[in-house]
Amino acid sequence: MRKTDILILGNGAAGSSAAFAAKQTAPELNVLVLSKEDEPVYSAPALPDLLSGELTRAQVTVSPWDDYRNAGIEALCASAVRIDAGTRTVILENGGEVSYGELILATGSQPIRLRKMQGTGLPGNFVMKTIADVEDMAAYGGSRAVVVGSGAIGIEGSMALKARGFEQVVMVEALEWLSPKSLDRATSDELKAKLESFGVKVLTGEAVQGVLGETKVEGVRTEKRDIPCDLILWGIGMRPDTELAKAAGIECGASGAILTDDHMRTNLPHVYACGDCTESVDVFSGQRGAYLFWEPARRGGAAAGVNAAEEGQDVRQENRPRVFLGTTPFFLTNKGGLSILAMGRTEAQLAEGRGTVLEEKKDGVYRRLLFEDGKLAGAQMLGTLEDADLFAAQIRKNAMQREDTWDLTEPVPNLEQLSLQEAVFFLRKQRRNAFSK
Amino acid sequence: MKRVTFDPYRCDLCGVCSAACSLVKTGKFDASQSRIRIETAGSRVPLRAAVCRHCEEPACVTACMRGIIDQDPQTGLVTRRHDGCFRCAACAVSCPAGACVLDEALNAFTACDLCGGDPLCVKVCLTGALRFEDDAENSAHLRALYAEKMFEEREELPGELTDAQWEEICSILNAEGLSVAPDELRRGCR
Amino acid sequence: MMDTRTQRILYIDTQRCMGCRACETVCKLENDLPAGPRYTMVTEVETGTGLTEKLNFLPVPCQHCGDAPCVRACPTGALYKRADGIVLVEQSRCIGCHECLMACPFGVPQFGKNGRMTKCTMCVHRIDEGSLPACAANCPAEAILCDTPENISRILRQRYSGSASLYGPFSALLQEVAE
Repeated sequence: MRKTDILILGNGAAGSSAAFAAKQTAPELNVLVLSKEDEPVYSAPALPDLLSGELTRAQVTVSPWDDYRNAGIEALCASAVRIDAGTRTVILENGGEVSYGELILATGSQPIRLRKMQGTGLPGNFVMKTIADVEDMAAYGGSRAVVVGSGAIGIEGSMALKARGFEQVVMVEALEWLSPKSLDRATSDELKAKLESFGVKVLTGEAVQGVLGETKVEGVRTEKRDIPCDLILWGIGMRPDTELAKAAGIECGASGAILTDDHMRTNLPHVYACGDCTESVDVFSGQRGAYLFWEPARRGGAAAGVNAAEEGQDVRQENRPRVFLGTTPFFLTNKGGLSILAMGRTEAQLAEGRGTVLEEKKDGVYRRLLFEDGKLAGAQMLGTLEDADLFAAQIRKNAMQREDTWDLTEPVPNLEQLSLQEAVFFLRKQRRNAFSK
Repeated sequence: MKRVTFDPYRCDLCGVCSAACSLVKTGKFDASQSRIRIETAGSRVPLRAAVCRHCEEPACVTACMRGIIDQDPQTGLVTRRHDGCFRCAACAVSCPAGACVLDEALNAFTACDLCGGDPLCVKVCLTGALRFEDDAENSAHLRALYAEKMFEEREELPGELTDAQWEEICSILNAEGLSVAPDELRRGCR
Repeated sequence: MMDTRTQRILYIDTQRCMGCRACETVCKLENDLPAGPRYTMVTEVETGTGLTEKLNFLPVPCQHCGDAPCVRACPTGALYKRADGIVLVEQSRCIGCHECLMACPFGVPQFGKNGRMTKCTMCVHRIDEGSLPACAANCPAEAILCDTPENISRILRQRYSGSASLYGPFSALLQEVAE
């Protein structure tokens, strides 16, 4: 039986961050990463660029295998089938066993597939989760695509397919507007127009009812029409991959993802979890849920790695981040002439009667700022990233304001009478004032 | 670690730091490509320097969707690989200092790399507004400034650069292998 | 609660400070500070020439400003102003970006070995127990006062009322002796 001090299941953003952080914290500990894919960690947000051909395979790799070797991290391509937390052992698919000192679960997420729907098993159905998915899609070819879903994968996938030279790209969204979790309807309308100007046809409020074709995908049937196509890209969401954890008795939250404390510890001793498979707090709304984003996965992964290494080594190093305070979800796309940034609350999430929304459309740029009690609570921007850092810091700070402390961020006065530009001037001035000693 | 720090009282907004930075990093004068930018209130009051702070827990490192921003575990220096940057702007959006710059030639976002440990902007700042020092030195300096203000013993504030100073800056740049004439430099700083 | 008039501040009576640095020492001990961070620091400034030449001392702890620039500048909300006005830092939120040091007019923010910001807490643990901050309690010249602006003003008026400029800093002492 193999033995290791720290065992990490998963080699994505969270798993690899945990591995490197653990090794840096305690170089004398053995760190072993198990991965289902035989790939060093790569950038999932860059997959659309791999699909469009803008980036090569090497250019989406975050850390090549050499980095693992140089750091002294071992990696194995293997699937775990069971965790025995009592004996601190993980059983592998090939029958092998690994005993661990500390275990970090970074099993990530799986794209949701509508297996019961007719035709979803035919060739021509694709998701975009791994490099292999992208390569399969690229190899499959075709010239007409339907993209189902309007999240990051839907939007970036549509653009990438268009850039790849597809003649027809149709995006189908069952809900009333695009990315309703991140965007307001007005922003969605602007985005829709932008996407159509790039040649992507956008259909909203149309649920997909089935896939047409006998031996391969030939079209998509929605509530309103049949759309002929060669391939379908499904981007209807991700589900945390927690089968192993649940079977081992690790507690999961209402979202179905693993519950951890702010040190990424699960309810079982010596077991940590991080990344897409965990539940976290959205600091903007205060709500717990499974938020599947790149940045918190890396941050949480690093925290899990540091904490596991310190537990294994029983030494605290001062200069390592070890606490994970939550997710700050950013909807950010900036490629191929399309830039979308949405952060903070949407109009529907503003407290009743306390919200103000300002918007501005100028020279192909759309900006929308959402305020609660005169303080910035959300921002949605299309075609520009100007002042994005200012807004991001303000929104996060306002959302994280502690109770029973002085709130030095003064509300924007007479907000209702201001234009968006005037409100931005006020916010800039407020920021500058902090430095006008 | 040592960082580039800024004393607004001593800055006369001559623009030499940005000009020299863009020259050494891109080969031409272009303030928009400079890794350091002096922020002002209105047009004449210097406030702060927007330059990479090499944070202890850098937001850009985890935000980078390509994973090509790293932090040296020993020195704490934040380093960037530029190949494969797909300009998602996550670093720029999350940076608390507003220090990320889109380099047109590299076609990538970048930020101050401290010139490998001897920042040129500091060398060419003759007024002493920019300094390369650690936290304790910076803090002691600011405390001393405050105390001097308290007892009204402020040293003379810098005026406009003299011809001799422009020449001096040119000779500093020449020593770095950047040959520039004073007139050229003056134009570049505008 | 948000009223700077009722907030406790640290006031330095520069007429009295003699540069003994007891505050620095006692602060380090009270807050168990290692080499590096200095919550307070006595700064020396020479003024005048010839007969008027003089060495002045100014201890610089955190001023716990009403409209604290550091709290405004902090991008993560790590710095905050407690309900009683004391400016504190929550290190787990700090990312060590140094924006506070750039904003602070007094150079107060300090950074320990962990790279996170740390600063004068006005000895918040002592305040909560009802006692004075270590520097104020241990200043042999009573140059450091910790109270509301109103009370400090009262103390200073008492201290210097009727004191002719002739005796300068010693007038209060003389008065005390006389009493």
